[in-house]
Amino acid sequence: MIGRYFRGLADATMAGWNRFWFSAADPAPLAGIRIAIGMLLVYSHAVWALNSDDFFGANAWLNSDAVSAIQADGNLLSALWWADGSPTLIAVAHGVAILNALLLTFGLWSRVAAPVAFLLTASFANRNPAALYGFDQVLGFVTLYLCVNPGHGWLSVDYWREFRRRQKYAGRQSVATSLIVVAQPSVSANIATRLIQLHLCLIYLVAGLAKLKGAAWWSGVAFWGTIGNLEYQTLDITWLVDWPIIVSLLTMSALAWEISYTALIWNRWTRPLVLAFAVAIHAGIAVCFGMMTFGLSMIVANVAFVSPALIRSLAQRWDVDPWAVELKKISAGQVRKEPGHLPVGVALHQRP
Amino acid sequence: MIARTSEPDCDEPVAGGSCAAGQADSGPRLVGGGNQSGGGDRSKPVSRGVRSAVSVLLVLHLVAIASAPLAMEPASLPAQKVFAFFRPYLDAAFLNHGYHFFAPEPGPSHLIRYELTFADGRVETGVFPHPAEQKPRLNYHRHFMLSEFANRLAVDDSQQPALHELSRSFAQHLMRERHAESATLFLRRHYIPSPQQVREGMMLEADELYAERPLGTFSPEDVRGLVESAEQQFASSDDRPETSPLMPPHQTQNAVRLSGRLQLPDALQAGEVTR
Repeated sequence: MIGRYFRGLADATMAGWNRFWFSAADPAPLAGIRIAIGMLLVYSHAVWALNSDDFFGANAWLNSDAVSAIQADGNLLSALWWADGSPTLIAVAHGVAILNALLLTFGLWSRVAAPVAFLLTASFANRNPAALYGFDQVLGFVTLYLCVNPGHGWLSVDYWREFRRRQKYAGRQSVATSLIVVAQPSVSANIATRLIQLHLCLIYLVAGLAKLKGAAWWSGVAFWGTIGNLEYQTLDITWLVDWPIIVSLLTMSALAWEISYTALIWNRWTRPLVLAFAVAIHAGIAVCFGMMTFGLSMIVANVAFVSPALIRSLAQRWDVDPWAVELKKISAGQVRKEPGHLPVGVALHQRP
Repeated sequence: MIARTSEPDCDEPVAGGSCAAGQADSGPRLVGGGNQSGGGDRSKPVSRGVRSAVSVLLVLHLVAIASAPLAMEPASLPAQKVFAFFRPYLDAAFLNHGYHFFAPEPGPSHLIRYELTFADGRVETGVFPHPAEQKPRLNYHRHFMLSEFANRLAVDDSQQPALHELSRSFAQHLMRERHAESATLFLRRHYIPSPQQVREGMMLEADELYAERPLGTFSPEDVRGLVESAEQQFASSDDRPETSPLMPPHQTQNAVRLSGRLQLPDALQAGEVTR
């Protein structure tokens, strides 16, 4: 009986594990993440480039002695040590980083652009380990997971090129073979999405549990510690000092959300509420405390939990999905449908 | 609500009869699927061998990223040991983060105040970060993290040599940038007033909310030594085979010297400051 229990437990665990990691998933959320993170990467590298002398020049804030001292026996690898002290090589690195981020955004040569984006993000960060904050951390782990699948299966130049290539030869093929799916679910897209999801859960759980060590979070005044911090402040909301009940509610609700995120995000009914709270909190941090880039990057990472169907319906509504636009044209009779053929690029719900 | 575990929780199962990430609430409308040809990856079944190998990598990665925050003080011995094992991977992949945002409590901010003395005897003072000087905001935050990092070293007795090296690096930057003869640095702490104090009329930038500790005065000799070694490193790049270009030159030598033996307490203390 005990043996049967453990066999059942092992079987159920294996089945659940395989279902969780090795199902095929729609790449739509990853495509959205790729585009948004790509744009944030462009911005991040542009800001690095604009202040290149401060962080990568011969007289940077952190010279090699300082980096060695603060990391002790760490292993902060950075390709930028190749270019240390050479303005030309540093300028080339900035140029490559920005260009690569643009490639990732548009989904051109994504399979190469994603690993390069990750390596460059880690290199720039590891060259300046004392000048980083949450935004850089988010860029780091998201670009790492985009290496598994960069979401190039939708809204990417890569996919569009393949679409055009197949369209070119479609006339010579039969209906069945000329059919191109609008989106190809894949296991790698699922793994990449799952990794982003789990990493987010880890971040929120750790951040929430660590706060439980602080009396200010228990007493409900911690939010004041951010409102009253002049160095973070971009929107003066110190008038809340006259509304302690609001400060308490904001403190407690933020803490409750952070701790419960890991559990409630997986339930289909609570997920929209958890995501709405995430957007509100990160937007609030962005606007009130000047961390626009961090807020945006966290919101973008949360897209990993958004339903692909919702993302596609939004894209369809805004006419940014070329395949959906094609479908609309066909529905409206703007495209002539030859007898015996379906227009290439329209898979609908038909399966061979 | 009891979660169903025996059945996939989605309306339109995909390949393999199960839900995939983000598909738990409804199936795609315009989406095809299955094993048709098209762009991207194919959704053909994954073999048992590949699944096993990928599973091992996933478990190792997840344990690694969880060990970084778990190894922050106070940390259990298993967490420390696991973190020490994975630290090279976490460092190299820029995953060594504690994620203790505003924890355990939102604390005071830290700035660097500096006094620059010029050849003509003139003294110029300043503070970084400063939102008016460091723009855009992302650049301000990166400078802000520099001064916050100095405080993280300052509050740890074991990190005083690193703090001195960091301060010297800051001084070198300021002296070279402004053509100053010497630089004196202070770590400035900006306390947050209590709600009661603000209600009574205290401003957030009130003088009594600031406290300072000196970081040192740095002379041209300090800086000259650094510059000479930096120029030598770049000028003699051909004869630095023992120096990995992926690591700071001096760090490579340390890594070589320390390789092969685990110095757990030191490694963990150092790990604190990189997160």
